[in-house]
Amino acid sequence: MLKVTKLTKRFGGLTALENVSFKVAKNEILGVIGPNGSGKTTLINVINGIHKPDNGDIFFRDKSIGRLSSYQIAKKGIGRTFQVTRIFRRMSVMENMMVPALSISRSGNQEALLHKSLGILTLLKIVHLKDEYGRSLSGGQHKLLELGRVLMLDPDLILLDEPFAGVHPELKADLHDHIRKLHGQGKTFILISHDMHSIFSLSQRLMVLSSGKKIAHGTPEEIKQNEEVIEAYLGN
Amino acid sequence: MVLFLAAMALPVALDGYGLHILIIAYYYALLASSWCLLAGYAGQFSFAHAALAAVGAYTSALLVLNTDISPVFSIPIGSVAAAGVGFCIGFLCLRLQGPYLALFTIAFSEIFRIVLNAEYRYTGGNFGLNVPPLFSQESRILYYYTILGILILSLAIMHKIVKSRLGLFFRAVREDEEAAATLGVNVIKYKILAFVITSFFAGLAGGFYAHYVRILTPNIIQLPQMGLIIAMVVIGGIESLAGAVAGALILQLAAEYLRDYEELRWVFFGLLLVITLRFSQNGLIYPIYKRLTKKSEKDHAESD
Repeated sequence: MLKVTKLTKRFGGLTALENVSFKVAKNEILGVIGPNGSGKTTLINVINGIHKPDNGDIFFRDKSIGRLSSYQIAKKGIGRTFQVTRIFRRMSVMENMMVPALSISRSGNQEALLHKSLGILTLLKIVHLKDEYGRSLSGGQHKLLELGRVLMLDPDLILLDEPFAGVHPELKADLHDHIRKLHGQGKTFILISHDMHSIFSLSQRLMVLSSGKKIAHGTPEEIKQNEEVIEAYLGN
Repeated sequence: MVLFLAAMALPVALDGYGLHILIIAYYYALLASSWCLLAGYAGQFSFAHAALAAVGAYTSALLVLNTDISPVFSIPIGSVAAAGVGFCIGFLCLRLQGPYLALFTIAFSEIFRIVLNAEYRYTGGNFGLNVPPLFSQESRILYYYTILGILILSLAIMHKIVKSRLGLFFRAVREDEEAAATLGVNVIKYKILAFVITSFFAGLAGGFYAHYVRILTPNIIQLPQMGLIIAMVVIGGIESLAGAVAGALILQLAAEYLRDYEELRWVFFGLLLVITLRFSQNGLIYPIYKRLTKKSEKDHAESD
């Protein structure tokens, strides 16, 4: 579904990603781990079009998306969340949900879209907040709303950047359930997390980045045994 | 509805001077509401709005003076010209935010004012440009109903925009451009559109003003003019078209009634602006309006 070839991204003198190549199959959950500053978020930002790659390319369903803008990539079916949530604070929860809904369906039936967003909010257990302003929600609710907004895009590939950071354990369990359920419905994920328990239990495959380079990839079991990964990141 | 009927009936009760004050107040209301759409909804804090009104005013005036065209046609052409300039500003400011956008638009306004001054052979410079009137009759009532009609129609269109998909995207862009883009919103397109649409209304207001006041000087672009428009919107309610209109009417009328205090009245408005920004960021008038409508809804529900 997604193929990244020899991706390089530099910021001035700093090479944030260097020659990173990998593939994500349809309906797979790929976990990306690595120390702080290893290039995980940059990777998502480049896939998602916020940054343009300096070298290499990205193919989504065999078509190059490396030069497209964020909004075009979103319309092609790639959604993302942010490490620090970025919901629209002076807009209601429902309005937050309607932005992606209306951006992808120009002539969409408004009633149907409202119905769809209510369905997603119910699933995420925040439907009672639908008329609240974004700014009045808690941190955990922001995470849920951001996921809800992404789902309104109806994306095939979802990029989740630290979805479990600073989240209450109960909510974390809920988020696990949501990811599993969506995976069951055929969605593909790239998941970044420092939460080792979550990422090892959810991912089918893991990729490890260190200083912008891919140092390992494999199943969670293989990664746990990998000497280089243990040294660079996992420790003993 | 009550307000509309009152506005329709007002000319009966007012003399020429009173009508003049209201006509100018409606002109400011159109400028304030369109700036509210640009800054309050779309988040583009531009200082070029008065200059865009001047683009509409001078384009229309010079067209009438140099061709046989009637103001009825030249005013819309002036509005389109302002929208064109708005497009250029929007395009050039794509990557500018906050203070940088403000500085760019202040610079644009000042340059435009200086050009109007310098090119006095065409624009009349500081001596002023004598502009033919919109109507051949000397009737303020005609002007009153014309600007009232323009204002109501413009507000209806802007209200429709605010409630539409376009308005939702404007607000999303205001909140977080990057996040909006990742949700499929073409940020560049909507930022430019915000400038084009609101510049059109500024140009429309300017065009009418030129053919009503009949003398144009570059002073209509002076920074205090822009400050007055901003004060009207901020005091009225930056995210409310009705608030902006109310702010414009109240400030304009207050400015007239406080005329005896001369420059002191601007100090008073400045203080009001500072107090609003500090204590009530969505204006002083909009929250009162909201509370009143909520209360009346509640009363209604209770009486049911």
